[in-house]
Amino acid sequence: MIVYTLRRLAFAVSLVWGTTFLAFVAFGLSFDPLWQFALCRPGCDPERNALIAQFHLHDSILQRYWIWLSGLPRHGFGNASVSSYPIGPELVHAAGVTAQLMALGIVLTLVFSVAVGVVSARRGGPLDGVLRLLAYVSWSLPTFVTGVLLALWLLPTNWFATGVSPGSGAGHWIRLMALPAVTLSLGLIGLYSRYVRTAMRSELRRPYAVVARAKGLGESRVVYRHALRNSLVPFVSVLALDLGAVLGACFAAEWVFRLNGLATFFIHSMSNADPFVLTAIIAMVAVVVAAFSFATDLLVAWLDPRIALP
Amino acid sequence: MQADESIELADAPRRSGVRSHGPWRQAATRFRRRPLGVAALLVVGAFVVVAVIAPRITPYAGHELFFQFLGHPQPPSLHHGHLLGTDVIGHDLLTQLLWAIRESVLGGIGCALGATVIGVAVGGVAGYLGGVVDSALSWMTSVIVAVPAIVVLLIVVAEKSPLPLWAFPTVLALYLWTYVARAVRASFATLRTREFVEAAHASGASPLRIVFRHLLPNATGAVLVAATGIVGQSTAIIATADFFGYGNQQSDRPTLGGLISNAAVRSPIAPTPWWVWVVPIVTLGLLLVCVNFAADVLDDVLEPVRAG
Repeated sequence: MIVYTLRRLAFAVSLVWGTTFLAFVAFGLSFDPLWQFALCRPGCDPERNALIAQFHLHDSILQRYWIWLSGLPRHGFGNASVSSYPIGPELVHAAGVTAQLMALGIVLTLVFSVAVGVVSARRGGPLDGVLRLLAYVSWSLPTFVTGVLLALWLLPTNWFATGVSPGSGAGHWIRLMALPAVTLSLGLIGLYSRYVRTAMRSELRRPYAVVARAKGLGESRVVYRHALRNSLVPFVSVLALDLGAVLGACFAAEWVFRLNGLATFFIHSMSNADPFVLTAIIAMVAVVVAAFSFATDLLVAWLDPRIALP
Repeated sequence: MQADESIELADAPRRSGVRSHGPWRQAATRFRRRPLGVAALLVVGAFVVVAVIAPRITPYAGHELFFQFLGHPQPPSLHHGHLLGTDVIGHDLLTQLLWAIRESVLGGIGCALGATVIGVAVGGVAGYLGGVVDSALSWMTSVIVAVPAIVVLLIVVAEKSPLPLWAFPTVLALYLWTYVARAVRASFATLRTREFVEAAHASGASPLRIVFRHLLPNATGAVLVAATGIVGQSTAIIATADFFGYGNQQSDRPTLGGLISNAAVRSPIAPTPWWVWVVPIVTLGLLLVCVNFAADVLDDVLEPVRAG
């Protein structure tokens, strides 16, 4: 288990490193913060040279990467190269909002995928058919469409808040997060309840389930104590692979409900064309994905301890 | 030469007069027993036809405005020449919808084709060679997949504002190939150790011949399923990017995502009427449900062993 944990941790770290390296090089090559001085070439030479010196803009991209990487432990993400504000605090705030939304969405997804999948697998018949159809449609609709539909339908009731409405406290947090989290999880429930259903149906036919019934256990004990844990393995493993897509859906949900998360921060920074802020955001995206991926790795190992065997 | 002999041996039963039902014919038989799957595929086919002939059948030019309906959107009707009605600023909704379908469908298919070419090449190399190359490539795919597709699209859009039709599909193909690569890698990895591949090795077939003659034909089903899945995925992602407001400009090149985005924003001229958002949402929903369902049925039909 310790070796497995360390291996998955090393993978998560390498994921963050690889992503940030790609992002730094791609953004560094395509965006030049010197665009700010395009209009006053002779007049602002001192400022321009100061910016070049501060961000080593005339060094090669790999040298710049090394300077940036070695400076990380001391300076964090440093200052933005356009309009010069410290990147760290804003980034942490935005990533916090996105991570809360993602965590809430994944918890809802886990709970309701299992509920829908188990009911669908056990009942069969018309209820199964209806649930499967609904799952299909909600999975097929892109997240932003689900979001727009929920917004058109529920926002006029004033039960819910959006990112632009004022307020604070736990009540406000729930009113703020409820719709985006439901939006995010509806599509995922549609997808994963099918995995749970298929896995549950095949697990209930396995010898151990037959034995459990034969020794007189009630059906719900067979389902929840024996079959459920095994049925969750394919579901959680696939979820771990899809986390990038989940975060993408999260962005769409954020955008529809105007939350100030990573998506909004990213889009605002795009208009500044600041390679350092954009790299920092992608690094945060990678950290969020890697953290959730590590958590799901541990969850899989807990569900099926054989996976952690050397 | 020896390799050709082994192929001829494999063909022997057919020449001896025994009628064989090839895997494709069996798959076609299984497919005919799934009426819903056939229906979904027909709907997708209809979308493709509409996408191709859209420029010829649009009733009006894409950017044409009917100023008499500015602020007075017309409901769908058979009588006054606007079958699906007009939007708040006076566009003919049917014209907009047809252009948007063209953009979505051609974009999805183009992206799937590109992703399939890259995915088969990379996944094939990883699955055939195995070992370090395989580990390196699968690490690379994990890194690529960790960044949401929508972020990749938004980065590209920032470079140039008026985008040509092929921009989104091309970029997405460079990103979504990982799904095809994963499918090809998995089937190559299991096929590689099978007897017929060993036999081909033993009879002196070159690696290229083994890949194209023996491995790839057996992985066609997996590739087709992954490619159909990408049609749905890329259509959804492109619509999302258009919804974010980063796609092509409205009016002369409308998109499904853009139409939904327009409908969701409260217009200062007049309240958004129901048909303005129902029409694009239902169209996008129908397209995606049918594509995804067709991909699922193809999966059952072409990979019967895995489907169980």
